[in-house]
Amino acid sequence: MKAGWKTVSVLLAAVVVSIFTTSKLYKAGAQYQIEAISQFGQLPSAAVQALSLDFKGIVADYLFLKTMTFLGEKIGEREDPSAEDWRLIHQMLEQITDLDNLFWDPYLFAETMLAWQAGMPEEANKLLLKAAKHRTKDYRPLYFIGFNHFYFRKDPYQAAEYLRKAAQLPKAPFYLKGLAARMSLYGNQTAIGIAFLEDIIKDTLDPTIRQYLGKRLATLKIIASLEENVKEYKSTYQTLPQSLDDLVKTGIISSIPDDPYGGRFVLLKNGRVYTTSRLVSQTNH
Amino acid sequence: MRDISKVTIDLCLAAINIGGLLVPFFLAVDLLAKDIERRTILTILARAISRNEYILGKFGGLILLTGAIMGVLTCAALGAIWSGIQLYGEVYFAGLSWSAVLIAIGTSYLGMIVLNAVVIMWCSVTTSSFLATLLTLFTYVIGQTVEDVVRFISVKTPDVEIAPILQKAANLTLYIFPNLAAFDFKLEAAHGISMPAGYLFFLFLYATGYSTVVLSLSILVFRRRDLT
Repeated sequence: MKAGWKTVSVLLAAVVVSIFTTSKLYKAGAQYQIEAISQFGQLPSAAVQALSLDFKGIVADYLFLKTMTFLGEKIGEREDPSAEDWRLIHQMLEQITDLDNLFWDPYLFAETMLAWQAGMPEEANKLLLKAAKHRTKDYRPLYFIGFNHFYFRKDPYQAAEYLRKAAQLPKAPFYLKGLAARMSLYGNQTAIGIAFLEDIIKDTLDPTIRQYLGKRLATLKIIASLEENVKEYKSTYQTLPQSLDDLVKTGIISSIPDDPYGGRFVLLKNGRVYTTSRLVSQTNH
Repeated sequence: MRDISKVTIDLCLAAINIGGLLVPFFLAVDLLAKDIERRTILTILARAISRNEYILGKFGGLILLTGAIMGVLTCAALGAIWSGIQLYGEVYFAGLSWSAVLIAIGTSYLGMIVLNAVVIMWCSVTTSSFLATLLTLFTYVIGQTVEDVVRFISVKTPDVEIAPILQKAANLTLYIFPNLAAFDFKLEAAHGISMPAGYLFFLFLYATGYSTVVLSLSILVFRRRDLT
């Protein structure tokens, strides 16, 4: 009987130790995740390819999973990735697409995350050019490059060039040709940004990323609506309002909407609306 | 995640490949080198079986075993892909090409046949199972990378001089070691790309030719080997 109790005590102690160590290891794992991704990120692409032997596809999948988990952890903890984190993510995406240059998800990830969240449209474009080179019948890489030129680089002529090329590829939406023409003439950045984001969100299954992009879309929609209100003011009073408060005073809007990112909407001299948050969450700053 | 089909096929083909690799790396060395190490080979050769028949018989058994393992895993993989289609819908599997998947499995099996032939050779020339495993591992790694190395060296880069002897050595390695990377179409299959029939025919010819050369060498060495 005594021996039985001893065994039960040892068993209980062991259960406590395993539960404790499991939770400790899980927490320590988050740190390891960062270290692991930085180690992978530092490796030259050619070395990763050679080390993958004939498992390049599955290694690309694994590295992509690591990259998504790394960013997911950051977003989950409501922490904005640092410049160094984005640099590592970019390197990882380069490695993944070197291993499997037809893998579409890393390119889409580069567009949604590097261009929109990290402020790295140049890097996103470089990756998308790789996609365009290998996915020769896919209109999306050229469409994204075109959009990035228009929205982030403020270069509607280059944008129109890429969109025209994209429009000629199979399954390209019919509106691309028209979009290219409109971009060449004049760019309503906000409206096109909204259309583009809606397109990306439709293609995104991950609920966290959808929520992340949804917030940006909601803010852009508020900006677009405020810019419309400014136009309405101008057509009524033949002059631009001094500030957004004028829209409230004249009854065009009941109040200035809140910025979902925690910033403040400001009217620029050219009639465009700007937010002090610069579409970056203000809770961490 | 849009490329569900690609990830599913990657996982399935990698599993089949690993299953196939288990035979040359673990079973083959165990069956052959340990037969010699433990002298159990003598009881087999004491019967009316020639050394040639012993080598060819072992090789036949190994490739049948590899085929059986890969066959079972192929059935499981096809089931997994079918389940993926039912689960996520055909829209995510629009680029799926069953023929490309089956071709990738077939060429992977051809690569395993070549590797099994190489294992037979290493087992016939070495005296320990450990050494045979090590040499098989080296052959596998070299076979997967040699083509890339040769291509890399052949690229003329300005201001970078590569010694002609190194270039020749790399070219020679390409002919000595099996070019196992040539049998790898897993990535293509994952993206629904089928390989042209002409290329596959040459691949089949290469596998047959290389395996025959390696097995003939193995037989030549094994016939002269003192097993006592």
